[in-house]
Amino acid sequence: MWRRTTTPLAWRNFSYSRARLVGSLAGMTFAVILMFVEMGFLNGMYDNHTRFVDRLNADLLIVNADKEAVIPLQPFPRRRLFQARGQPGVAAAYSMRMEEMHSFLKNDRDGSQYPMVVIGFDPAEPVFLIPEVVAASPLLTVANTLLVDSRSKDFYGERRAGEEAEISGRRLRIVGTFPLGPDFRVDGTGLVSERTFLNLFADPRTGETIPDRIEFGLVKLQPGASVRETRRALESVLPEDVRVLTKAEFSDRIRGYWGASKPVGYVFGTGMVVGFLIGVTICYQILYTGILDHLPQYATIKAIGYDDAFLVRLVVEEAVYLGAGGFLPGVLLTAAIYATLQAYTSVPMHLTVLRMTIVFVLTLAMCVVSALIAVRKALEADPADVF
Amino acid sequence: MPTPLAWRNVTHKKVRTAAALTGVCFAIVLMFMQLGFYDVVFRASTMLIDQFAFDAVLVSPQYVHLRASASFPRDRLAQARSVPGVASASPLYVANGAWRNAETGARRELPILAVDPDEPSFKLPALVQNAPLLHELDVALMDTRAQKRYGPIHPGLVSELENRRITVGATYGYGSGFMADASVIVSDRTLVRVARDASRDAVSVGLVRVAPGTSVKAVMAGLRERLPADVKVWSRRELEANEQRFFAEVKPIGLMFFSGVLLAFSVGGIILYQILSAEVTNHIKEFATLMAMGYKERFLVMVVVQEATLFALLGFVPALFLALFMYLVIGWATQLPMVMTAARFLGVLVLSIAMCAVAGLIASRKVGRADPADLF
Repeated sequence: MWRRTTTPLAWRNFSYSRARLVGSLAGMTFAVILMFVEMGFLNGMYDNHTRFVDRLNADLLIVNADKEAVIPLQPFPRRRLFQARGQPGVAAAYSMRMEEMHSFLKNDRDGSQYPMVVIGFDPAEPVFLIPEVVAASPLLTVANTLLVDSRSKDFYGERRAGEEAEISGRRLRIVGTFPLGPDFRVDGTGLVSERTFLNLFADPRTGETIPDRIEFGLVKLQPGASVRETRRALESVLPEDVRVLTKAEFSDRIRGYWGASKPVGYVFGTGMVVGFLIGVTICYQILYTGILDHLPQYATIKAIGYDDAFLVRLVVEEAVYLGAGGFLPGVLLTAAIYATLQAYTSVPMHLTVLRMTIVFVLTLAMCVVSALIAVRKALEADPADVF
Repeated sequence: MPTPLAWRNVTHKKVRTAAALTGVCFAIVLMFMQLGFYDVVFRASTMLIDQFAFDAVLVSPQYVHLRASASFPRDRLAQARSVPGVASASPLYVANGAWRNAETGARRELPILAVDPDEPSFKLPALVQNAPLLHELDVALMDTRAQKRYGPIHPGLVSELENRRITVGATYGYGSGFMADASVIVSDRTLVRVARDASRDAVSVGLVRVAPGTSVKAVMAGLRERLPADVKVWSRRELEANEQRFFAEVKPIGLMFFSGVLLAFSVGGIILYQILSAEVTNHIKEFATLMAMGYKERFLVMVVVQEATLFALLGFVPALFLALFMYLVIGWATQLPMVMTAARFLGVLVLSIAMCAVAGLIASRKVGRADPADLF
């Protein structure tokens, strides 16, 4: 039987009417965009909350056993880090403190106060993988100085080096900025030295500093040390109140927490499904109308002696052109829409190869599904009836 | 018009019409869903405060939202009570704590809401009824609509709040919305035993109720006059608007859901247009014949617009039911208030018809150009 015709029949069917083609492709393009944007938001929410972990300079993290995400805070005793430092394979273990609920940044302009996450660390230790922080860390060795996230919300007021800021009633000097950005929970972030941190956040009951509570332990391995073995060694000496996790594992926890905590998964999942269904119906409508209009031609093809498989291939091929033709402008428009949405919502929207592949496969799937439904009409075409 | 031409056109080829209607239906469902989600942002922002009875509130000038409320001195409440028309002025304290999941032992963050059990505070009947239980120390009222991560919640449950043994005296079901994944209500005396930095003198929100028949506005003016500048006076609506503004305009979730609405309307519009213009194209031969028979173009445009309206209406009905069903499922799965409002129902209906009619108008220009001689 005929594997391939010399005439590109499907292509001709697909492209013969320019006006109809433009309408069809526009419909497909928007179905593709819908799927991209819904998926982009879903991934964006996760990326938004794991971004912080990506910026940490650590091979392994030590966190409270109950810790689910960067925020809510779940501190653990600092002596766990001392216990970790002696273990084989461990080159260094840095500590990081965080405060959220008791830390307010006062806007000098209008006197308003907004909660800001403040992170305390030893400026001599390379805790962050953010170049701006690495460069400005030495400035934090001066007491009562602060680095501010330049992408914090506007209501904090001026976020520039040289400006003064007030946190929890104490005057601080901003000595630099770094780009991080807000997420669902956090509106802004500030970095201070450990010493400044302990001065800022004394125990409100006793007025004493609380040096024993830290939020993250960042473990760096010796060159050549195995992550798995070092981790096993750490787990064997550390008690059950802490966990030793890789950055990827902690990011998984964060995704689990935000996935369960907010209905965003449902919201954008629904959007994707509806986008897919809209794509199927549009594609079906286009193919079905095309078949109906060409029923005599299909009947003729059958009369000549082509079998059903040929017709199915023909329609599926046309559907694939439709999908591909809608996908390409869809991707280009999505890139522009992602950039706009990222600027507007501060949720990172990345158009990765994997995500493009997923949407492309979904697009092809919706075309093939609708082709297989629509082709039944062509298969029914009886030459005797048509003429 | 003796022959219902638009109706006949729509019902002539059933399969084709069904396919087109499915597309119209999904486009309308998309609009309903995204509007429903955006609406949830507003409803879910105030669910914690919804549980309390008040006509106006006193808050600190530094108040941001319920979980970042700052505080003001409790004395202000006593001063407020002396303002004419004030029926009650009760303290609400909001702190952050860790609840021990009684099953796994894991500690889960939640807001602690504390009230003075001698003062009227609650609006929900279940809370009003069980409020006297709070007279006993270390007893809590808990919302059963908490996430699974918080473990089982039932009356009599003994667990820990910030490492202190707490007994759940009674439960109720309301939900905490976007503010939290769970919540717990205790007395002010219990709160200071539990939370490391709470004080009965540092009130988060003052719940003010006015006497029956008194104007809330007049009482608020009286409060503003009597009280010093370390408290702000807001009406219930102003407080709700403040919480909603924070989630809808500041937090990414509101911005994302709003983008979803914009997207749904632009995609929905394009899809409706695509479907209708395909329909018109499909009937172009019949339209050309009608023109050859002597019908005016205006008549044909009328038929197309009628057809478009029929499509919108026929697509709307299943879309409405599908959307209601999905509201139900998603509302159940997320414990968020997904509800259909009359305004949304009418808005989407009118908009669908308008979109279809515009699409029909644009598409009907093709009909005007239809030349019988070319088509056969």
